[in-house]
Amino acid sequence: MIQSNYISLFRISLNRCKRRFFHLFQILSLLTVLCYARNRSVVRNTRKKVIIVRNARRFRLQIISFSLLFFIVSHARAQSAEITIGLNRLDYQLGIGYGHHWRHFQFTPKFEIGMTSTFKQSRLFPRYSIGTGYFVLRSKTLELGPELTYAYSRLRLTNNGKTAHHWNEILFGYRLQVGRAIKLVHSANCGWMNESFYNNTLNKRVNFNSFGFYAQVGFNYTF
Amino acid sequence: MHKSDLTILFSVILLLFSSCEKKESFDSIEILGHAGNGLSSANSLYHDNTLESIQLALLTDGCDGVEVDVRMSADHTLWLYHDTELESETNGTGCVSLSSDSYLSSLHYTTIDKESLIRLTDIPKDYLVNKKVYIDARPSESCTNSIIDLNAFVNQLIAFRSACLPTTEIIVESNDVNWESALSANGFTTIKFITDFSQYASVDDNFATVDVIVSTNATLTKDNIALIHADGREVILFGIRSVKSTREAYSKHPNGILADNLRTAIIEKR
Repeated sequence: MIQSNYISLFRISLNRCKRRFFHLFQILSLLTVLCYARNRSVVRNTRKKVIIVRNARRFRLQIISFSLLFFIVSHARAQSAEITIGLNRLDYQLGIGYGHHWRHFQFTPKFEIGMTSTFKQSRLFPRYSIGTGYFVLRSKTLELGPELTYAYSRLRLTNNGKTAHHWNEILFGYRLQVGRAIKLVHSANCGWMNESFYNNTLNKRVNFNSFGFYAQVGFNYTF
Repeated sequence: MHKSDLTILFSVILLLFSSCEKKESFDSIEILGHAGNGLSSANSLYHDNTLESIQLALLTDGCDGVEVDVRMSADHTLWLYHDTELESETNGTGCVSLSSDSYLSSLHYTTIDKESLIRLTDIPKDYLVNKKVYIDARPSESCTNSIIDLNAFVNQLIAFRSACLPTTEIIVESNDVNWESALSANGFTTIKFITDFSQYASVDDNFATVDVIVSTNATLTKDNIALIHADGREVILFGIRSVKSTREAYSKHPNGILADNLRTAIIEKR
């Protein structure tokens, strides 16, 4: 009796899985076949073997990334695009990001640029970050919860590219979103910040650790 | 002549003229980190006059040296500290001149990183190779309203200089006449701080041996600096934080700047 119960439970779960992943399985199978066909052509064509092998590898990578992206996008509760203006110890940051909502979680990969360095000093100062928020409070118009963010930024001070400064940040704070389709976004984080760069005199990479913070405000559009 | 030929000719002339435009060179201007990596600067990772701040500045490519604020303890040791009272920035109380070395070494700044107070001799000498150390000597103490022991101070500076490699240049600022002559007699490059260009006229009378004039960026004009240069003296400007003030300071062609934002100063120098 207990056994049959377990079996039926397993069947139900399997069916649910099949339903959920059916389209994904279909697409993945199609892509695998395409990839196989491509590999076959590599063996046949001997003249352009190197190029084709390289292309095949690139193609495989594309398939993997596409599948991953497809998987992520197909499993979102909602997605959003956001534009923000922020401040950290290095510069004012102007950024665009993508928000991926899954249950109570929100993942926000983002690209920002340091405004003073980039616009005033004509020296590109990019900052890449990924934030993971968990909305403890989630209603139709309000989302609030803790957020963990990792960010990396790089700035070349002199014309020697070897001596570019790199900053890594791991910050923890809160994220607040107010509104319906168009939301006002605000987050404030603080935590660990590391600055590293290569020093020509010591002939080695040096590291400095300190306290870092980041605060931002902006808008996002949920679709 | 065809229309297309005229266009080509015009483009060539335009190119020729644009290539002739010469950019100002700021190569000779030295960048010194103000109190390490910037004084009271939000952009600076560490508190001013700390080991971390000085190390970060000295190791940054493009930084030519650091400025530090030096005070002497009751045990006649030179410590790096900017303010008069310890309670304003540390977990201690009183003045540096009335505190013992053991007490000062137990203190830390009231920041998140809790950086320790350091002695002048704690600055790593290998980081100072081919660098300049600008020492802002603080001879008077408001706690006691007295001038501290000149000989002991100078002896400590001499000991620090001896510990450094010959490629390290040590320059000392003091605004007391006796101090200035004592420092100059011991072979130090000396600096005089002026708050207004009108004060420069009296420098020759009282501080004849002074080598460098230091002032804020807002105080001195390009012409003022040219006049000081004509007297064979160097000029260092401070009070430079923003991109605008950095550009303004560079355009005056001083010999050096005390940068509160090293990154901005290095990028602007190009």
